[in-house]
Amino acid sequence: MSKAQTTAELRAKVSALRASGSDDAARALLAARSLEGAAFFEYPWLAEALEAVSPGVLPFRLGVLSTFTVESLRAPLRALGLAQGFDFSLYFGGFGQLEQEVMAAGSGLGQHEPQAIVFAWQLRDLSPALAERFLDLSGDEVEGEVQSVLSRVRMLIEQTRRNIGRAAILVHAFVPPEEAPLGVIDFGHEGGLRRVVDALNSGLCALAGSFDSTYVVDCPGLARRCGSDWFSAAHWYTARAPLGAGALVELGREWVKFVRAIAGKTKKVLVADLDNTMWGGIVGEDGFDGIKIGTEYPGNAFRAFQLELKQFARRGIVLALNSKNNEADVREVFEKHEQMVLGWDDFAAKRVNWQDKVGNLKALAAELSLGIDSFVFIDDNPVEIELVQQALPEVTTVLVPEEPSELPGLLSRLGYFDSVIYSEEDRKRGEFYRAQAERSQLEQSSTDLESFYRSLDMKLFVYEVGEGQIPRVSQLTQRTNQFNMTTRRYTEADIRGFVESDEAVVRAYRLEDRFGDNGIIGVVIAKRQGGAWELDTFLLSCRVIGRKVEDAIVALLAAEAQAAGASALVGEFIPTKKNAPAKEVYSNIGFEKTEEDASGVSRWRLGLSGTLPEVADWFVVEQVGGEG
Amino acid sequence: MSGDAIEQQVREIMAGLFALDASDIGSATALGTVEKWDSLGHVNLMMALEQAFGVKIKPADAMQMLTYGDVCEKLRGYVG
Repeated sequence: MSKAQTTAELRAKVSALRASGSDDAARALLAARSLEGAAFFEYPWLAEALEAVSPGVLPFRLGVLSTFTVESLRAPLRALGLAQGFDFSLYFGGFGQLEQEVMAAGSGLGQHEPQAIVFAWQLRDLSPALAERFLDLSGDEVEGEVQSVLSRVRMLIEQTRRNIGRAAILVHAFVPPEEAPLGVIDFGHEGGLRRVVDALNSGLCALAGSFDSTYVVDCPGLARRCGSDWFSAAHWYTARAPLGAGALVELGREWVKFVRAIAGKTKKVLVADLDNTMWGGIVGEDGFDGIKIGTEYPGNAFRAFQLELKQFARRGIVLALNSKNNEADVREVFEKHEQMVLGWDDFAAKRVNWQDKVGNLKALAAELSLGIDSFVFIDDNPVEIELVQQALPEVTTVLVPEEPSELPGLLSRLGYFDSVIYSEEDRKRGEFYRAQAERSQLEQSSTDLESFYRSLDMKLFVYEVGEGQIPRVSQLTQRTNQFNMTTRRYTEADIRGFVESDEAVVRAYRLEDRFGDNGIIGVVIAKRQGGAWELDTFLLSCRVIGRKVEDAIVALLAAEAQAAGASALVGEFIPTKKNAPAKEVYSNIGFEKTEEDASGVSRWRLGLSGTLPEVADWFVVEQVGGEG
Repeated sequence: MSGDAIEQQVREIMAGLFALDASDIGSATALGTVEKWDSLGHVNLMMALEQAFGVKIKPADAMQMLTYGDVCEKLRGYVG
């Protein structure tokens, strides 16, 4: 990037863009400034300016309870939120009033009805004894101190759950004090404070893990990244404001990453350019041997970037290519260049051609059956980035830094792909999408659909949902947009509530085929209502759309409901921007429409007295009990 | 850094933090007379100045930086 713009220059540019009616371009500029390189003093203005050009962003209510001065984060949080699609309504609890805010539903926090709550504290606030007079304490007293901090945290979380509701909870991990009690040996000595803080943090993580939707903020990691700005002695002793301006904003950024993940706005697909992004140089001009990738600078920086992307793929992030090149040149690099980390098959979908990149992005979204708002596009060409920003403002764009050594780590730090859930399915997602590509080739070579279905050798496993499936079931309700009849989002606690209730039937479906295990791909939550089973939730992962799995699920459910004495299955379709693919499902399976209101919400009924739909004979079905 | 450059930057910072027009900032701009320049606003101002000028302001000085003029004058001692 060239020399940073001054605030005045940015203000002028934003005014000019707005005057010419280009609010989207103004927003892109303001968002980019908020996310990187803004000075602390610019945030109030950025927040206000973003608000004016961000109609209809998602409201999100955040509560902050802290034991130190953190209200200075109000404007940065507003701006960082708006820049990433969140209209934060913020509540800062009374200074140091943790218990008071969570003990009563009618507290300020309770009235705010937060969707997420941050507990921001420091070791010196929760345990002055450990932080300030550690060497006075006996071993037993140290242990007692650790336990007392943990039981206070447990009590706060329990009270929050009881009085404030299902808000997600973020708790700050503890940062060892700047000055270690035992000096240089404190880190390694068994009598040092460092090990005690580590044990305290381990206890905190275990505690958080025992509650639903409760997460730990890696403050030691933040402190390391922020360096000396993490503790500002002058502001601490004068105003109980321990963080410098930079560290404060960094902390806000970290909270917003959690919010994005909690709200299910995690990005799913990374679409990358090739020349000067995946390697240095231009393969079409510099040739196979001329591109820079390998063990020497700058090739090693590009290699590190590829290693990072490989780890992304392991986390379940889908990789795709969008590059102006001859596909044959590029394939040769991926298949034959021995310094390449990523292979051609690591990309679930590719557009290597001379078409415009906007059109390519749309085609990739269609091919992957994933919403384009879950895409991040990285390119070294500012013109391409700007074209995408203008044509597809819902795509998140990242410009490759001019300096190659600044590329590795950049995407990880931005945190667009951060999710609060990490499951076995995520690890396998890359394989799923590769298998998907093989399936579509098989489909193209099959003469008719039925022979295609038969050739897939599909095996459908029906789970009576137990503890083992709850995280994945919740994740699917959070993430599935297209084949989702009602788009109701549920936390793990919600799902557990249904599983434990006698009034609800919760089923999950896993599909295997000749190309591999697709994992759990479908969920039904049925409620017993007046003799019928009402389908509160019926969804399928987009991976298995178009394989008649929905018909099989309904047939299985109908048989189960009939056996349980139900008179009908009742379905509901709630239209959203994204679930058009699910619109005709009930009608195709033989449900009758009984109601439709002006907003398009419809109700459907399948009587269970006559002949029931049957599971197509190309499915092998297996029932699996809970807990598995 | 010239005196003018410091003043211009301070005006920019105060305008940003306190939602003022940079051109309205002058000798009358002081803690207590500007709505957002309260005790929290003062902490924000000190943090913003430290970040923008790359300095650490001593608490004794911070306590005397209560008007636009005082802020500029004290800052000159840090960035010369």
